[in-house]
Amino acid sequence: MARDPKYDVLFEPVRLGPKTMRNRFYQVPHCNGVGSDRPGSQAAFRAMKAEGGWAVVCTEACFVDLEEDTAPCPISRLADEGDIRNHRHMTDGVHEWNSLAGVELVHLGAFASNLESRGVTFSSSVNTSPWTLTTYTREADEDDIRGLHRLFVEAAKRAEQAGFDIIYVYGSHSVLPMQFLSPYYNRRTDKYGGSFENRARFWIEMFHALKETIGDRCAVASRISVDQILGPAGIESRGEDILRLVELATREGLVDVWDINICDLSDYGEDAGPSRFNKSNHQAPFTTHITAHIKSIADVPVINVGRLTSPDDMLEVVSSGQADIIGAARPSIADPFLPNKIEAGRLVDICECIGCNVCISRHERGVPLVCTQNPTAMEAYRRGWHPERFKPASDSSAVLVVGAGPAGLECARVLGERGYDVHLREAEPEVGGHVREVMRYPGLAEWGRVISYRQARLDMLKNVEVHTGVGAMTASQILDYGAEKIVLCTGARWLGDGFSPVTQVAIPGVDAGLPQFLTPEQVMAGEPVGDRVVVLDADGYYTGASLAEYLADQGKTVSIVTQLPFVAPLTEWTLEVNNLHRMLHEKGIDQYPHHWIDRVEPGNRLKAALYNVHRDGYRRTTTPIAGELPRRAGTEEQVIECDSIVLVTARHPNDGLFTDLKARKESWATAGITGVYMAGDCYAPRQLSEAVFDGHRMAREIDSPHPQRPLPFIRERIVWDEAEPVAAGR
Amino acid sequence: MTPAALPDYDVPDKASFRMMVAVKQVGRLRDDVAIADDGRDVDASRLDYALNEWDDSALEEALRLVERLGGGEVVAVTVGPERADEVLHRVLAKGAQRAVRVWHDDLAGADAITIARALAGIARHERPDVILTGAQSADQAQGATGAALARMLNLPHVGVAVALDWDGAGPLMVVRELEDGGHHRVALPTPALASVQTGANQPRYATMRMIKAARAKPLVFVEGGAALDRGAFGRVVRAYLPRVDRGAEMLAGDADEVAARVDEIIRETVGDR
Repeated sequence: MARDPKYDVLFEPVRLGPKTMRNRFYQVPHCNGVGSDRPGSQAAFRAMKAEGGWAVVCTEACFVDLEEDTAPCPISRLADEGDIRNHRHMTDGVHEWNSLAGVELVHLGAFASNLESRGVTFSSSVNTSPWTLTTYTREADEDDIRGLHRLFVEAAKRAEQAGFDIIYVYGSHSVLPMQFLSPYYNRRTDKYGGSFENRARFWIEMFHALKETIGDRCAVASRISVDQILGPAGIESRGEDILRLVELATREGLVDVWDINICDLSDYGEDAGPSRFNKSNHQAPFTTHITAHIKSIADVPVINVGRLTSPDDMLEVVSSGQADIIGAARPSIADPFLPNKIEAGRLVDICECIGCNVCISRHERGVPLVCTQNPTAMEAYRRGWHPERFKPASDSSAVLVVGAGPAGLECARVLGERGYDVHLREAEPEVGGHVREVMRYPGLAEWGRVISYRQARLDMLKNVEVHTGVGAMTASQILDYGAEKIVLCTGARWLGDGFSPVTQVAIPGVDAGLPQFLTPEQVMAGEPVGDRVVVLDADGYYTGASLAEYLADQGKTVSIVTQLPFVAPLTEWTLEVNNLHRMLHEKGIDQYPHHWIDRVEPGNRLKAALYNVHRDGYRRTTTPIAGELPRRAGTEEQVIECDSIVLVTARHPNDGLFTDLKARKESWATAGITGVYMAGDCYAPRQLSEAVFDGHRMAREIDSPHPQRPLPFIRERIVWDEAEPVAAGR
Repeated sequence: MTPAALPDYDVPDKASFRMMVAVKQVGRLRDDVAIADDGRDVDASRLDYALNEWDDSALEEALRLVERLGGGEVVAVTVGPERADEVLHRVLAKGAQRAVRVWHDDLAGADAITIARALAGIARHERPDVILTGAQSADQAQGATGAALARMLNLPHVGVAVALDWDGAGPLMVVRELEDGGHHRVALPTPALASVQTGANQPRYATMRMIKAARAKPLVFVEGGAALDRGAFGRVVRAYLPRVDRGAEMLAGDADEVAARVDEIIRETVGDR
């Protein structure tokens, strides 16, 4: 198939100073939880995007010296020769596919944690950040500022040696240049503070320094947040400062490409907006006039971002003049081959990002990213997985996959790509498993793409049959089915007895068999919920808060009880937490953090005994006594009355079918069955991204000796070398 | 319009009841549609093929009738080239006992009456008690083959059946679907023909065991040139893709802006009311 001519404009080259990108698809700098200290993973991850058609592929933020870090989150560094070699591996990989490589040089200032470097960072004033707390910056004097520029220049030279084509002055997300420009951070009274010219000086000087060092050989890119989303306390896109800065830099020809977004680093969920709160192209109202302003001065290309996943949206962005270049981070993670698929007319094959921000959440916790939609993300190096290439089936086994939830859909898809004959059987009339419920939570409709993408792919695979509405299969039916390999993907369920990790026991009086108690499945199935509802949330991720919102939107009076310090702490990593809590506050959802329920008195009106999880004595008893808590046992409790309790307390695997089949293992051989495996939540409940991953892995490794155990993968680590003890680890 | 005089083939003696089901392998359009060089059909290289959904429901009705009767045979018949064997294998896997394929290269693109003549030629050999067809095919959607087939064989016939029942002795009881959501109950003396509406039932899936077992079931090829001895009863003159006159207008903006523009467009097109 060929490219639809309406997308031709997306494949026009764009000049970036001395360089030219071959199409308009640009992977903007983004973190991936590995950085330049793991060059194997870094290069394989970035090169995949170049192979997939992204004309520019950038690193994440890259430190210019040794003093700053963002530990535990790993990013890049260009401080010495070793760093050059590591980065060179990435640029070589990117160049192999005729793409350009970009590096985002950074001084983090107030946002550096320095937990590992133990260094001190400079800022415009003495600052710390809501992320960093306890670690403050030193206010840079003029000597320090000259030193900072020198570090930048040295790093730029290293960047050129490392093979980079585009070198950034990173100024968005309130890193150092913005800490000078924005009065939110800059309280100076010297020539670097006060008036616009003074506050802009540091930034303009950075541009000059870069231009002079490499300007005729590499493109100078400026990443800039045109609005800190702090209102008048900070930089505003409709305010004067940002327009004047952009005008100044453009007029003096200091910037070859503008990479524009919004936000302050303390809440960068306003930039990397999750789909729950921000729809595709959500930044346009802030950025469109900035592009127009730039264009009125000079024809310098402008990049916009906004979780653009659809080719038609991308087309609109370029055709309308909103931007020249389609910037993307998350859409390029979900589908590194997005540009190539548009080129080949394979629009249905595009795997669209769902905006769950699980990728970001892993980096935020200091580990390599993962992607719910693309299980091969960050697995190219360590497991050798390529999103478009699959090792052909090594035998002619026919595979029965039981359950078409996220794991089953993905397993059947990859088995189909490998050429296996597959029957995917789903009890319900529609595929999707528990994602069909999750996608109906407020704001999470885009998560339905986990289902629709796989449904479309399966529809095209001739060797995969999908059977729906067949009811729950029994062990006998499976033994009789005629398949050689069985993969059970029967998912998990929420427990209905109040069992949780808080106390590891059920809660007396709680019983989802009674109408007053409901599991998430029962709520979404439309079972009646009373007017006053308590959501009992031991899970800490999206389910409790989403159900609370779902019920509040129906006019119920809702409270959330959680043992955790606040509702949904895991959404801190996905950058949803601030807006989530604003939502809970705005919708009048009461919260009882640090609390749990000891027992519930049944009746039409439920009486739940609520207690603070810290009610016990804080002094541990010196001599333990068998049968007694080794501290004073607190007894204070308060009774709350409600009509319904929603139980988001714990999940449990639906592995009964596996137990039944295992009990009849002697019949397997006569039935022609060579293996029965489990993938996804039925093996062990886990996050959605991991269920999809598990289905994928099982399919890739189903012909390995023990498919239930993952094959070993490369751990990118330093192994001590006796011959070169000094070189090793340098 | 008479049944085609098709060559003999090995038809087993009727031990019990016999249902004949006419099935078709239909072409499914993908994203890239193109017209063939001769300008009279869709380019076949850009089609996917599948069992016609209506025929799947017809087959399911036949299988259920035989199950309720406690015995009997379902014979599936198709008029199609070699690739149509795939559909016959699927139908055998689902539970039909035998399958027959009729073909002659000149039957490519044949009209509904000619196809019906070929099917009628097989029915003459098979002498079924009940013939079921799908109400229409997904690709050509003529809706004519079943009626033509019944007429040629002088069989009582109804269309758009959504439920069937037969005790093997009395009439074939059929419920038909009417346009306004009503239903029509009809009793037909057998042998009879009914064309079945999709959604009449949930067609069964074939398990892998059933698919493997189907490979041993008889699939017979019958040369179909005799169906052309009266000439064609219709011919496709031209196939073309509709011309795109105007592109769609993309309505951009927030909900209020889009609503205002929609209001404008309605007033422009339909006028104020």
